[in-house]
Amino acid sequence: MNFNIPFLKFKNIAVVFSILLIIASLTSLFTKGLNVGLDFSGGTMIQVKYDSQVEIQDVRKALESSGVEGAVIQYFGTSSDVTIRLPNNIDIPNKQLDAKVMDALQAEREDVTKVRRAFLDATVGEELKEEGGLAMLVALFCIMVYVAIRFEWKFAVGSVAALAHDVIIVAGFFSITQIEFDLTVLAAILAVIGYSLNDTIVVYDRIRENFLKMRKGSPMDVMNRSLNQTLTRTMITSLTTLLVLVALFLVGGELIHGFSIALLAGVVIGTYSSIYVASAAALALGVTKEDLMPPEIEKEGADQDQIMP
Amino acid sequence: MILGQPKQLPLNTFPTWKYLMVVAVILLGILLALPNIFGEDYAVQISDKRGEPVPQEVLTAIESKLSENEISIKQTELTDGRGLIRLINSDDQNEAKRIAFQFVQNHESDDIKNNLVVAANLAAATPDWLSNLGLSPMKLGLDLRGGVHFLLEVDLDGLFKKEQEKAVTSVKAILYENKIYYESIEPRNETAVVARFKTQELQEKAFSEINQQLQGFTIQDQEVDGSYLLTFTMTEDKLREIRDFAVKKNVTTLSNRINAIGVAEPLIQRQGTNRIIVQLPGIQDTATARSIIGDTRTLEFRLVNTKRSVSEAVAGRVPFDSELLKESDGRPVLVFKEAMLDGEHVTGAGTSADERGFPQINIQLDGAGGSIMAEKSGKNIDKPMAIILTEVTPIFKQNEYGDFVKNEQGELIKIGENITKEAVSVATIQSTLGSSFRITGQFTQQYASNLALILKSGSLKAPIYVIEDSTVGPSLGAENIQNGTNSIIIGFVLVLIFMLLRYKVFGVVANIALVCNLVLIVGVMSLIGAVLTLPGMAGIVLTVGMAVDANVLIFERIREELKDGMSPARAIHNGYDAALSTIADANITTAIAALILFAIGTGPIKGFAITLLFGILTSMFTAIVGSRALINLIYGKKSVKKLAI
Repeated sequence: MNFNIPFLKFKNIAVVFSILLIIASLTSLFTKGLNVGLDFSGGTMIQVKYDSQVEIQDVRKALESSGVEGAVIQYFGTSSDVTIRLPNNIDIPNKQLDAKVMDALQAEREDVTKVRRAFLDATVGEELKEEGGLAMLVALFCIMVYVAIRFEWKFAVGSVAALAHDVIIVAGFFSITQIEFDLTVLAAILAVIGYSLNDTIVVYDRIRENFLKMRKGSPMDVMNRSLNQTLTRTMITSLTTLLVLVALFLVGGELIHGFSIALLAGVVIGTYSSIYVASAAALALGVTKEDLMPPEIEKEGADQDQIMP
Repeated sequence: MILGQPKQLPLNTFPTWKYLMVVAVILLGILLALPNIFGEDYAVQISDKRGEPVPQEVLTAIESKLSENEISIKQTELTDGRGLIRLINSDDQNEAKRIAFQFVQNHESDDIKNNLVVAANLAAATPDWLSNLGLSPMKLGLDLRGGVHFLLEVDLDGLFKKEQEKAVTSVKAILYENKIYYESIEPRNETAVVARFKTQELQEKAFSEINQQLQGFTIQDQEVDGSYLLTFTMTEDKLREIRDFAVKKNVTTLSNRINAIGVAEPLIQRQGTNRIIVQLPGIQDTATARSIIGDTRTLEFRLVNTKRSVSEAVAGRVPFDSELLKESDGRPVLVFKEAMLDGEHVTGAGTSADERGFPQINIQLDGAGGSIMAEKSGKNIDKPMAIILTEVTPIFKQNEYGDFVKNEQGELIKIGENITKEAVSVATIQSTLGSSFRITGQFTQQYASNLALILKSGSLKAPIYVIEDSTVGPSLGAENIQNGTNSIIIGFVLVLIFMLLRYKVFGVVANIALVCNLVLIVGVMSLIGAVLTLPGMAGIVLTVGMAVDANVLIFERIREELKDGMSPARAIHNGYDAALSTIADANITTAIAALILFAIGTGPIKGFAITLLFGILTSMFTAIVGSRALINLIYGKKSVKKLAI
């Protein structure tokens, strides 16, 4: 396969597309917000299992008739698994909450069993939010420093722009779809940062190599050439990663659904961003051949093999 | 370098040591990963709640009881003082637990009856030759094996407040002694005290006096609206010392309690400044676990009864106003029931060296404690005084299996208390004791520090609160394991097929590298004792998908080189060379993200970060060095016309 797609010719369309996505994401994030899970909101969560299907209304009715108010009730994977989330300010002592909820449910239907339970103080949730945001910023900063050292500051800015782009859009996706955003989703987003960066670095590496190799050609030509050369690899790695993620999504169980969805969305958007956002940003900042000349220290040893037949 | 150029090997051959290294690493990985394939045995665990070894006779007796009831035993072992009876299935386990519990409960020896604990356990079925090498399988997180998880917070406000009040008293005393007149002395915020003076002269005088005598505070002077202020703020060191001590003490209390109810392999660990994580595998409800939280240690100073002989008391004639206790070395001592002073009055304790160089214990009392002590010790000079530590453990109702029974509110039913008293120190009063005195003797440093710690713990009481708890049922745990394993297998097979179709012979090589990678991840995680969680398994799945990337990079590069008209051998060589720095850069940046995730994450998320991190490291080895070794073996020696790629 020999590609010759003038990727960066369409960069204006891509810029518009990305900006639209980001605006949509930010709008949703600021208006609807995220449907944060127990990890971040605090409260009590009780997961129960019925032997056969159950209606959400019936569960709510059962709870309310016993005086348990303000519960958020959701199906968990199947229509016979249900999670019940209760806020912290409920006036039933935490110690008795389990027993109270289970009694209420059993009064309505006998075939219900408790599978999982979690309680989180709201302060812990607040801390996690802070720590999660901080982790994201620290990660982006460390990566920027590394790329700036290994490549060049314009590339560093380009790669971080691409990563921020990915993070905002994946978070926006969770806000628009209102899929529960818990700690595993946060972990997945950090993994997306890793993945997308991986892609970006591969492209940058090739751009650097081609800048040194190709005597003629504008920076845009060099970048287009590099993107085409790495395209097969980009596609194949995305494909293998998507393969395992689909497997994880289908058989991994409900507990890591959010995780696999975040990564599926992240891999798709990350692949796109390393082609368009990262390269286009570096191009827009005016990367030139001279920028990439200096960091060649090990020249002597590296060249040796080439001379030998 | 001029001296000896290294011998130039032909293209695409490794020196022999490199092949051997690859083989050695993979073999080592297989060995480390091996304990994971043997699964777990249903077992009943018998342990002593004081941490002492369980007698072999007890184990043998239970064993023969089980045989009488026709329960087949797979193996019995006594390791680290814990008895473990391995059984065939869960029905046998349940019945065996009942029999063992009944045996212990009805044992004639009180020692055994009160101290041995029976618990159900899932024990790793690692063969002896592997466990003798110190190898063990990966530990499973609570989300995979079921159990209760707690996050507790130690409330330190009370402690700081007490320290603040103490400082107010001390400052007043110092000023009074030196006849320095002050307008007011008040606590401020949580950790500071402010003293107010009329003139600068008084302020300066107070400053120099207090600066010499008050420990653990920084002093700051200030002039506000014509009054002269001194602000005393607790130093960071002092705050940390108080915090560390309170948390450590709670960890110890929790450990004792948890050992007493018999949980197999509990985890009790400090997290951050003032939090404690408790994980109890196998426990199914938070009510049981919540019952064990709380502190009941008390401390008293009492006089030793010297009017009656100890031997008479040991023989059974204990005077009504006294009780017979034991010292820590087991010697009996007869003490009065009435306390001279309650341990609440102790404000501090530490060790230093006495005139002869032996360690001594320094004790500080608060103002009220000091006057009580002065009065009572003055009357009892030359008499021995004992320090008594009392520990109260609640006893909860259990059924015939040794499981806790609950009432309708879901709380445990308390049926009694287990009280242990010990005379931790006996010393003769030499003179009238004030608010600060010392205990001397020919102590070891260890003994002195221990005693100081016990004395301090009598005063420092910090309540703990549950701020997070979660329960995972055993069936959900099993389901999670199944789901995780399935996704790893399916994802893995899909990738294997894809690589084979795309890269043919090279695909086979990449697949072998991928299998080795998986073995190495499992091996490394088993070696370092990492905990496998469901997100951790997701991390392994993700690693499988991403690990082929290195090989994809190399192989695509080789294809390019071939297209550019390179000879096959040259193409292989250049492909590996050119891809190396790209792979390194790409992986290091991903590793940065994983490291940060590890640093800030807790529990399951940490598990994910660990698998991701090790996945990156091992995949770099297998994809670069491992696959190269195979390719070299296949294509290296002969001249190849065409590559199957």
